Amino acid sequence: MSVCIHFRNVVKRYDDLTIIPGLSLSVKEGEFFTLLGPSGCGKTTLLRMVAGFNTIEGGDIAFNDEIINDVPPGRRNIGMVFQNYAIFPHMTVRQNVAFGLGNRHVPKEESGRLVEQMLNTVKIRELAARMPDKLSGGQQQRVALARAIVIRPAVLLMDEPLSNLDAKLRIDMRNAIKSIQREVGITTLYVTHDQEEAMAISDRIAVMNAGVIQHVGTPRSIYQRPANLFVASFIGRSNVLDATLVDGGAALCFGGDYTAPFAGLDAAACRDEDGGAVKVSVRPEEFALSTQPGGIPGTVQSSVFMGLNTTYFIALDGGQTVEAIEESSASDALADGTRVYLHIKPDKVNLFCADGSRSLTRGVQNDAQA
Amino acid sequence: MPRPRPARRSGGIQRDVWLGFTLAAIALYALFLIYPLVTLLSKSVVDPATGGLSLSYFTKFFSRKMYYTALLNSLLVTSGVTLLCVLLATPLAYIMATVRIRFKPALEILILISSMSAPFIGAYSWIMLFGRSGAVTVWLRDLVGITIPDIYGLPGILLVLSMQLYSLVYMYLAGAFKSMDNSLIEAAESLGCTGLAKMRRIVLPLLLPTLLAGALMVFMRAFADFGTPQLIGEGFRTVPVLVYTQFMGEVGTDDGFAAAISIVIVVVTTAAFLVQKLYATRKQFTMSALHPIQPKAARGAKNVLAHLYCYVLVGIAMLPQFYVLYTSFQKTNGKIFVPGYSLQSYADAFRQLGKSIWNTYWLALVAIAVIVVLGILISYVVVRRRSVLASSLDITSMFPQTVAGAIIGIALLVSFNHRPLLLSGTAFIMILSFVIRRLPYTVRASAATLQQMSISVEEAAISLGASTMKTFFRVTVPMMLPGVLAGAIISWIMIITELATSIILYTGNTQTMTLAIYSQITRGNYGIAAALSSILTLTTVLSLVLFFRLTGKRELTL
Repeated sequence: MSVCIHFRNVVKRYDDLTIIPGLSLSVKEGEFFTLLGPSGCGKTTLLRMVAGFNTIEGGDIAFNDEIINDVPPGRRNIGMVFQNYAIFPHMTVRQNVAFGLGNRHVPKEESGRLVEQMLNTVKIRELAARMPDKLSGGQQQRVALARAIVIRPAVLLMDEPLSNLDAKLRIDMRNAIKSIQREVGITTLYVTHDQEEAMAISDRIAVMNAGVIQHVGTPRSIYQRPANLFVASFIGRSNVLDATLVDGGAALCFGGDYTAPFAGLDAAACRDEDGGAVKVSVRPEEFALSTQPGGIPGTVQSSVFMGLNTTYFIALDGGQTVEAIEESSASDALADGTRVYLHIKPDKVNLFCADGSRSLTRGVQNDAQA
Repeated sequence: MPRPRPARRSGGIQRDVWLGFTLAAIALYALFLIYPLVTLLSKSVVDPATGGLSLSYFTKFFSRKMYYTALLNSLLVTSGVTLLCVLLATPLAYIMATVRIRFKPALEILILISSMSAPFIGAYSWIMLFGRSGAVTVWLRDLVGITIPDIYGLPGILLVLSMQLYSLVYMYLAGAFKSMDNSLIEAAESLGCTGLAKMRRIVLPLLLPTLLAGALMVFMRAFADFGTPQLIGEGFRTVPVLVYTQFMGEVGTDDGFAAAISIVIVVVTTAAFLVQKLYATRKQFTMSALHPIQPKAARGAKNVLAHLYCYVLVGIAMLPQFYVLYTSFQKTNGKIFVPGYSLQSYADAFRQLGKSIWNTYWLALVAIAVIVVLGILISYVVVRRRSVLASSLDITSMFPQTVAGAIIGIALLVSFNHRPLLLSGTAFIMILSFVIRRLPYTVRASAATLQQMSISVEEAAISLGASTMKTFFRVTVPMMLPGVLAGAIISWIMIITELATSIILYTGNTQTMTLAIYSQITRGNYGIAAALSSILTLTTVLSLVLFFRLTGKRELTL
């Protein structure tokens, strides 16, 4: 019933403006797959191409083996959840959910049964007779989800469905969406610009920028071993430091007298033109702070107490400001103006070539198709 | 996120349906609007003697004092009325938005009713009150010994039109105040901008585009109004009166000259329209009020003055309406009112002019049915199928708003008074003129509603397997319906109170109530005129009540 979605060299163009220059990707059957990227990266455009609301200027999109490029939206057997929910305002909740079944000429009794069942699944049974303007944002969201899933689509498409909800509801709803998707097992393509939401909800994520897929992988793999510097900076927070590979690639020199051993170099990824200069992406928790000399020297500018952790903003002697997180200690935090020395955690940091386009770190798992 | 472009249109057949409709609508407009106006234009530039191309009519108009004075008079009336309306309505709107006024809903209904009434009925009622032998004039002269100034001529026209049209400016401004977020005003106050400075630097600039839009509506209506100057103007002639007498007068009618004057009117109103449009596109900003301004209870003198201003203004404006209603129940003997009350005027009206009542309803109902269908289809094409063709349809269908009613009447008549398209004197040409002139209200209201509807609702229906046609009828049309209804109710009321076009196009068989009222007034049968006017007002009120019931709304925005 569920399908895999294949994108083969897909192109989107508006007149002279190319939004997606040629994108290939495979989404597995039953998978919860997220398109993640900054505003304007083409993720919604791509989703609407799957839905049939945007034309495809080149390449193919296929559900299993069937190319759907020219199939009208209503025949693609998709369920779509819109950013603004797009609930029919002149129909009750029940009529909204039953709308798609009616178009498929599902017999009345069966339709009624399916609708009831679905209202139970999304936990809005008691709202069935209400009009949409009497529903809260979260409830409308559930109606939109029920309406999209009840037709048992081959693919569920969701376009930033949580962006209009407040923070707490967003977390509740994303858990609900995740568990409902598990329960019904529909291949789901989800679009968001919120990386935390993407990590929490997805089986796999494709990070997009400027119409090009940067990295496809599990939340863990894209966070821990990002394929390039864009992914490292877009997912979570990263400090980017300049360094030089020394000792035949077995150590990193950060200038001055701080050299850290580094065992994670992917020798195969290195090219001659890279020379020794690299970029090192260090997440705030991948620094260790010390007041003893020996490390990258800097001065504490300010600190923010966040309960479990304390975030420090540190001005390095080279002029750059970095962010470091330490577990909060029982005693006071380091005072502003304290001289500190930063050490990196060599097994965690990621190394990139000088222009940031490739990772030089071992262990990158990228399903993106060239 | 790039704004989703207009959705991909699936299937070729649906596209053809809409394309076909657009082309058909444009063809109809070409035949029934553009062709008549071009005919009119061509008549105006023909030399009456030689039949060659000439500007002699225009030369005649601008060289003889009695003609160009009419234009100056019109401009004087129009700018005076517009200014008065702005000066009267702005404080009213401000007070009603910021101060808690008792019986505000009732006041707003009265204002709405006065905006919907036919101005010439107001004119004749004012004459009955303050004219040479008006009730108040006589009473003051005989009992108190005061002679009040003459209300005929310019002052009378200014009085009648501003007392009716201020309501338009008010309704526009009330809408603007509703969309103004109170936090804008609070932000200004917290930054030290209060009192008059706050008005000048924050409130007025925010209102200005709306104020100008309202003023333009007043300008158009005042400039095009024929009934008021005809009844109360006496020697003070305006251009529409001049056109009417040139075209319909008993002696010495001159189609070509009437056409030339019509072209002058079109040029003036179109220019005013374009100036406002130009300003509006430059100075447009969108406001949406999360926290609308809440009226607060005022105290002491401020409270009294605020109430006084609202009640007195609305009261004076409604005075003619109430007086007409009152006189409709007065006993009459021939043309003269005699003491006592009776339903005689109504009986006479039904007996003598029952046909005009029947005509009004059936002509208007047919017209409104056509308007609703066209309004839905045109607004859909304009909003959802954006293209060069769609925008030309948009402009064409809106254009009649800028053309005075009398001119549309003349243009239709001179174009369709001979075979193969002999339409003059038929019900068809009356309905045609109603549709052409009053369709814009419905198109505008429907398009505004559709514009606010996210296209994703329609996409949702399509993705759930509904066909494009099913989506249109099951989702789009029901969602547009409140807007369509709001526009249709205005179109409907503007049709039944229409005078300027129908007075040129009607014959005995197609006489409507406004025409009957007008002819009764000119013959001095004030009792019957009052009875018919009251029936007209009652119809307007009932239509509004029905609209509010149907939509559950409490207001009608223009």
